[in-house]
Amino acid sequence: MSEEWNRRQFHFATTLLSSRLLVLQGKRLALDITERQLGRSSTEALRARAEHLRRDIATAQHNYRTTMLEWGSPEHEDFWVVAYSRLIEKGHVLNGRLRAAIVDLPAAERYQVAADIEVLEGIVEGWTDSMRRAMATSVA
Amino acid sequence: MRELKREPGELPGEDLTTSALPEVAGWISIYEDLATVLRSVISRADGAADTEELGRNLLWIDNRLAAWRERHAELAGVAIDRGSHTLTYAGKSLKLTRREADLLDFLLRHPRRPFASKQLATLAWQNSRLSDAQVRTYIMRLRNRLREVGLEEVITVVRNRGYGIAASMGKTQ
Repeated sequence: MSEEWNRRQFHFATTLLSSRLLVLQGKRLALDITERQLGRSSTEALRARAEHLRRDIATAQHNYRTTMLEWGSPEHEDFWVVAYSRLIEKGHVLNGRLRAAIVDLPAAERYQVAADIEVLEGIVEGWTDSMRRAMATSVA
Repeated sequence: MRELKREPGELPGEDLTTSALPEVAGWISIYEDLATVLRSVISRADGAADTEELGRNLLWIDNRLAAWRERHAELAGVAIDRGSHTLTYAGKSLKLTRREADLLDFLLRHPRRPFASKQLATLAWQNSRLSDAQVRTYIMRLRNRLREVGLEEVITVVRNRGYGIAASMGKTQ
């Protein structure tokens, strides 16, 4: 029963991830074609379509990454590429927010925030290295 | 909890703490986001090679989160003595029950986030058996108590999402 359940779960996860990836790739392909058409004749309808597709790609990418984090196998490098890219993205948001605020802060906070930024940059750098390694293994 | 002091370089009459308060609240929510993603990656990774390093990263983030939560409460000017369940604000003291103190302390440490009744019961009191109506009663009672020290507006109701801490927290000092 448990083995059968695991097999079904694996099948479900693989199907779900493949379908999310197909949607993403399909949207990217459609955008590529639209951008080529735009290069030949720039019409308002084509520009609107390209913009619409960029939004669709952002949503499809978000769905793919969320599914990968929830259902992907940590034994596969693709999982780690997505996991690290999500962490790096969040780390950059936090770092940017801390950096933007530092000038206007009282001395106590300024010191704390400068220390946070330094450590956080080191952590994000580590995540970036790990993501590059995962990408290299994934491609190989 | 530390006494609020004037910062070096702060001009008389200038209140830098007021401007820092919303910033600190913003950092807390981004730190929380980052910790949530990291925690979920670690829980999925289960023993993979990178887990140990990620665990150290999470420890640092959790420590900073705790420090900023503490600082947020200081900047807001609210001190809660968890031993005696006494709240101090603007020179006034108020004796609370343990549940009231736990609830207020939890909300102050998680600014900019509304919590549903069920979440509050579990996270603030570690008691998932409390009903929504019971939590609502505690909230109403606490809000009434806080009126005695001029903090009646501090707990806000966010429609369809739950209860949180007012964004203006600390500005009324």
